[in-house]
Amino acid sequence: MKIVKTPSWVIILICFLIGCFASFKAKQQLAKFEETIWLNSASEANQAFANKLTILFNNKIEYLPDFLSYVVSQPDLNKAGLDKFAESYLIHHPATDEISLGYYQIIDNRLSHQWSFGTARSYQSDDTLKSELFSLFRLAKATPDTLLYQLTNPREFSEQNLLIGQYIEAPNQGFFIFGIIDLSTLNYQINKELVPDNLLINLSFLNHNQKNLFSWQYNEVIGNPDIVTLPPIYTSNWQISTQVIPKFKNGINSDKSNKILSAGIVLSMLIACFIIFLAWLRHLVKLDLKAVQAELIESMTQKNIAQENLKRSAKLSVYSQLAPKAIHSIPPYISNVIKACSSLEEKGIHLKNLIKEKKATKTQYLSYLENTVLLARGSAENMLKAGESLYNLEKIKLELEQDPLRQIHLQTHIQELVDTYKNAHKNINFVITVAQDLIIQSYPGSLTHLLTIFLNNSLEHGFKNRNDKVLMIEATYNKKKDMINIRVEDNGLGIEPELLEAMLNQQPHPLCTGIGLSLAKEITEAQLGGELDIKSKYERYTRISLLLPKKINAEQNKGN
Amino acid sequence: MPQAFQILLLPILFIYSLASQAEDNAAHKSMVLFQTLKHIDWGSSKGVNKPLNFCSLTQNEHSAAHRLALKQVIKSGQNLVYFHHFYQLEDLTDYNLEFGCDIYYFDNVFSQLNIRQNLATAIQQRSVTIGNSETFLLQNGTMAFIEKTNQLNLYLNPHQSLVPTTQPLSLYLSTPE
Repeated sequence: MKIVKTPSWVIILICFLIGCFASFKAKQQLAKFEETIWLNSASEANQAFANKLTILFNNKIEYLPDFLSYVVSQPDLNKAGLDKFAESYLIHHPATDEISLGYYQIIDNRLSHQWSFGTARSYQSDDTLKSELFSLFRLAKATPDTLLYQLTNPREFSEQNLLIGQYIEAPNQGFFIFGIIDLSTLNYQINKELVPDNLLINLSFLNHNQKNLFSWQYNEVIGNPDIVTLPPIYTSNWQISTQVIPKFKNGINSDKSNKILSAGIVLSMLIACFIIFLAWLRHLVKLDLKAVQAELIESMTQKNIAQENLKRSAKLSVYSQLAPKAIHSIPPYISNVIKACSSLEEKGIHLKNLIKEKKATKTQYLSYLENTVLLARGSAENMLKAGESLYNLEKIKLELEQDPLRQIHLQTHIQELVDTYKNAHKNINFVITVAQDLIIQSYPGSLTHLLTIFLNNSLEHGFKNRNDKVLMIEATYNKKKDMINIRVEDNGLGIEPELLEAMLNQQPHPLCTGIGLSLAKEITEAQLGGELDIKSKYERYTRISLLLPKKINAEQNKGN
Repeated sequence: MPQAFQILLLPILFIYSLASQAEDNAAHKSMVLFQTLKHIDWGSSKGVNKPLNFCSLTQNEHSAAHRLALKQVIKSGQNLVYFHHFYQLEDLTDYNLEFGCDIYYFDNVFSQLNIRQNLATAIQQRSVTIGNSETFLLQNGTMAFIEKTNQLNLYLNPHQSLVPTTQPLSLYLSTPE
């Protein structure tokens, strides 16, 4: 997965903006919910108003049917009795605050006023009012048994009233009862006692035909505020159209949505702060990492320098390793020569004494001369061998130091190197199989270094606690590739697979110092232009195969 | 002589004009009275279901009390209220002595007069007195219609409340006591 590196401030800004946006959307949703609650409360207040209005209005007219049944049942009652009925009704009906009614009896189609109470009495003394009452009577007679409403005409010094009338037909007679509702009082009561604050109410009174008789408005507002219209409510007599003024119940309660917004912003800021904290920590870690990286680079540089130094000194260490082994073979030769010289000196002194005493015989002379010749020859051979060892050592040293490109007789080269080891490792069976005619043009020092690494490796690590120690070196000519195969194999303990893999792939490993087989691989490829293959079976064998060019082109190899 | 005639004639004309003039805002006052009286809780001071007498002392029949009396009978608390109209203070006093008044109404003119004694008697009778003008309240009336800045207000006397205040009425009114 590709990780896009984004600056911390961008992440913080994005988180903050997302938080703010989410908070804003949440606030919007909650604000809608709050508005719905607010409107519901307005609807409830509106419905409560409608219920109270119905009760109030019914209280104004409820005595009419009671009175009607009373009159019809007792038509012979006198006025005092009817007055008592009205007063008793007022006393026993707390909700009824006023009674204004009267009735006419119709006998033989003649209208006869029987009784009036309250403001209804004025409809007998005022002709204009009486004509309005008769107009209602005609209408009521046309639609008997129906409660009818009629608005009186406005007049000077008199408020508009609502006339209520009903005509009842009885056998041979009829009754017309009527009542009056003081609209100014009703309006005052509605306005002062019922209308909720901050609801713009348009109240329309509907007659029995559902036609509008009159309308009142409450809580008129100046200007055009952002008002909300509620669904109209219809009662038996009223149509209520309501609009909600924004001030209703101090407006929409936005506390929760505002709190949500504030909380969201605070949370976003906290998250942003947390991210800032994380970014700061990352910055600190980066600084630490940089310091560690710098230290690591420094260590690696030092390690590489040390490794380079080690590699450079590795060649010389080969000499230091070989020298003791080579010198180890010289003292016996010198010792033999010294012994021979001492013996010769002793025999010479003995012969000299015999000569002085004139006791020396010819046989003794001859024996002494024979011994002298034999000892001189033996000393010369020993001195030759010691000199040869020193010469080989010196030659190896020069080749390691100078490493000139030259022709190498492979058999001699390998044999001389193995001879150096043989005296120090007499318990190991060295098997060398190299063709006589194998001559390559290469770097003898590097080749010696390479072989020394292999031999040291086998001798130092490969044969622990083994009895049949065989170290085999084989060199053959590969005609197909025009190259030389050199194989160094031992029957030792082998190499651990993990270590072998680390060496071949140049991976870090605690036992991999970089101056052993991994250096050999480097020398093979870089210096000798060949290939190195190591195969090993743990506790069985280790086989190192070298594929070297028969002839190295000096110009090509300069680049390497 | 003409000047003396004028001096004599002007008060007569003024009184006549007052007598024939309808009370200001009579319709509104009657409506407010109707609602106010309805909400009075008499408790047991006047007896249960005992009818109350509403006695008005007005210059003429065009007063708020007369307008209210068109309803014939109204309710104050759970008591019925009957109306009695008077045009002379003596008539009112006599009626009160004989039958007793539970609610008094004084129109604007009588409210300006010195009726302190009548109002004190009313308080003793646990009656309610309703008048017009600040002077009426300052004479310890129960409530009064007072018009201020073209607005008709019904002021209640805090000295007659259940928990009377000790502060002077002048704090509530513009007229000093």
